[in-house]
Amino acid sequence: MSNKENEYKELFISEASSSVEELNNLMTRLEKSPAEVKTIDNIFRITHTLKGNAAGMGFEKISKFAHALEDVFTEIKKGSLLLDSEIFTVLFKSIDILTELIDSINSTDANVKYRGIQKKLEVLVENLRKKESAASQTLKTTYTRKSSTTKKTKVAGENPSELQETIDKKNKTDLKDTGNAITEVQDVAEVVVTEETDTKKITFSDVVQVPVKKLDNLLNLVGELIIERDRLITQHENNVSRNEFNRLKRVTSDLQYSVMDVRLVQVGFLFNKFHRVVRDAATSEGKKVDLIIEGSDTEIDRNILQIISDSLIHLIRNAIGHGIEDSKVRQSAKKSESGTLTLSARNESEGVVIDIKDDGKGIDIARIREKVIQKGWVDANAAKNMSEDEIISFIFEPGFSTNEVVNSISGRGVGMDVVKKAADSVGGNIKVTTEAGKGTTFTLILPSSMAVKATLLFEVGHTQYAIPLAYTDAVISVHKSKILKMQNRLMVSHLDKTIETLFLKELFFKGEENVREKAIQSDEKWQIIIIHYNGKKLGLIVDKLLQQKEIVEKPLKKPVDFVKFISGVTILGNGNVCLVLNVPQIIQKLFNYSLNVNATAVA
Amino acid sequence: MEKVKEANTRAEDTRKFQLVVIRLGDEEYGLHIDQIKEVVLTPNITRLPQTPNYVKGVANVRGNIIAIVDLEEKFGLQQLIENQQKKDNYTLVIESEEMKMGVLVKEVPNTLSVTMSQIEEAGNIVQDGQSDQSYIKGIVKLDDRLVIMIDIFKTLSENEISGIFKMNKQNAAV
Repeated sequence: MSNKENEYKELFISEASSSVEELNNLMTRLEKSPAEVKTIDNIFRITHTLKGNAAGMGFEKISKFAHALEDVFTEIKKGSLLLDSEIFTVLFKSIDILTELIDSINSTDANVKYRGIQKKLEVLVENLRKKESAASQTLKTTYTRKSSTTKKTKVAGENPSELQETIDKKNKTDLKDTGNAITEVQDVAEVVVTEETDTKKITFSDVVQVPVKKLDNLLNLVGELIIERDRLITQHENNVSRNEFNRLKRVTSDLQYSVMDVRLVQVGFLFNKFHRVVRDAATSEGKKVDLIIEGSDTEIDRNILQIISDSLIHLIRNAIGHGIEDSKVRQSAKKSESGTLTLSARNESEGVVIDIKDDGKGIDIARIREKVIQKGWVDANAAKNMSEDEIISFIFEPGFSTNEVVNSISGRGVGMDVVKKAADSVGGNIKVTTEAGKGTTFTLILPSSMAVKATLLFEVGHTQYAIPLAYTDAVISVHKSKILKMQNRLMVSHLDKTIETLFLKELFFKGEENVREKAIQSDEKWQIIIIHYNGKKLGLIVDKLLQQKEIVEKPLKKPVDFVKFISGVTILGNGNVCLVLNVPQIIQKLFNYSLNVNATAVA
Repeated sequence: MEKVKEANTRAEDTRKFQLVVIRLGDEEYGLHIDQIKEVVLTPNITRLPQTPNYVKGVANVRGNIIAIVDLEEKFGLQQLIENQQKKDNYTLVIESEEMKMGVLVKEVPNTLSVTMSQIEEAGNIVQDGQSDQSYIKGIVKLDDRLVIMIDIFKTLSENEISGIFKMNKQNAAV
């Protein structure tokens, strides 16, 4: 297949997918208010366009399937088909099939079973038509026939005989009409004709669709450009005046931000898909749930949106499955019969914040506490003293969720560690607030762009490292006398909290030289970076703090991509490689290790 | 029949190909020239945690970030050169479709033209049970020189590097 053809195919797929998505939304809306003519009209229009496009591209299956769907909506439009729950089941199913058909374009082996449902749609229409021909013609049917005929003319050439047939039919019905009706029909015809001439003009949209791959590539190149710029500037800093590079600096920064800006998409793009998710989840649970979407015009990097989309679905399903109670329980709790799920996005200084809020029963903290003790992660006394937030953070522990008992008791926490991981992987964070009886809110804090990371640079053993600011709590400088020793561990107190502290060098390059002794002998203050992840804090002792810097991170490549403590690297102005610390991994590793030790000690 | 076969083998035997010879300890190792991308002055190396000692770290070579390894350390050849001051001036950049890395060498490598007949199959080498030595492909004998042919990617496969690291960790844990 040539490149051009491929590009057209890609375009068709992206257009068709968004059409189907819109169909899903309209259908859910239609289910709620079946009398809305506008919704039906929109659905009709979309299926029609899809049919035409698919035929043009030579995707016969999709075209025919869309045609069948279109026919059903012709009948719905006429009002001759009553919308009941059974019809909706068939319609939703057929939209699913349509999605599958579109998806199967790109895979060669896919074998979508579409005939059954297509037949069902066809039979539905056929039965109605039979009934109809028996009944007398009304003004209303003429009306729709007329417009559907003209619409069919647009795709003329596709099936001339069919066209002829419809024209014949139209003529017949026209004859039967009274004079009054004819004028009305002419009005409609006029509208349709002007519409037609409009579409005949070739218009160019102001929007260009670009494959994400190309954007990724562009962003990589810009990243390299920035690194190269920094290198050059550092190299020539002493020889030429600083102003020499100002223009270069400005242009490259502008370029970087422009490219980042291009990659931003509105979250509504993803949020709109959730109408269907909510509807399906609510139906299968037998609950009533209303979805409210706020701030859908908030912008976020497309790749980040993609990575967290599964997590959002997960959180939504959880909220419906375990958070929101069924109508009976709600009524007895004096709540509105149907639960409300609010999905909201907004821009804040730390990035994009997405809230998934339900008005359900809230998380049962006591149950989690019980479970944590039972698992031996924390002993009973310690657990009693832990704050609610600390207890809740356990739902993000891997292994917490896999236990069946937890699912049936506390309900929450199914695969929460996966959600957490997804947020971490883009440098984001997740928080939970819950109030018994009132509901739970999950808050995802995500960077709006993955391209640059705000980091703190520091030095250990003449090597520079970077640590993402997202995980950095504070930087403190203390004299060794303020450090407490507990067994073999070092503790530092910061804001009334005692935090375990260790030498980064000891963690990274174990047993090489006696870092600790050296540090204890010297009288200088220790530089400690306090990092946090999932409610756990840790102090890292480093040699020297340098500066804050926005960096472009590159992943580690084979054969060293298994190194967990490092999430990636960046190239510094002097051409040296700077390692970026993977805070989630470091904390998880250290704390899991101590968790295990505790568990075995208890056992 | 027999003759044709013989002729074939002979044609193969006389076909020449190029080896890049590097000196590790006081042994000579040969790498297939196709695997080598370039030789550069060793750049600044940044140490990487969670890797075995012979992985010296990562470095920036023309904008690419590659792992740098010390084969002398990997092969345990260091004690032989204890007194000699170690200078790893050059880095041999090797590349396959999957990965790219650098090998430290003291001097610019030579090339050597050999024919197939000069290579002795590796089958005759005693496999020491401790470590997998399947990376040794053969031995080239030239007058008084002995060049060990190795498959560089087998030596430094990901499994090898991460596997050994895990082993060390287990030992440390015990």
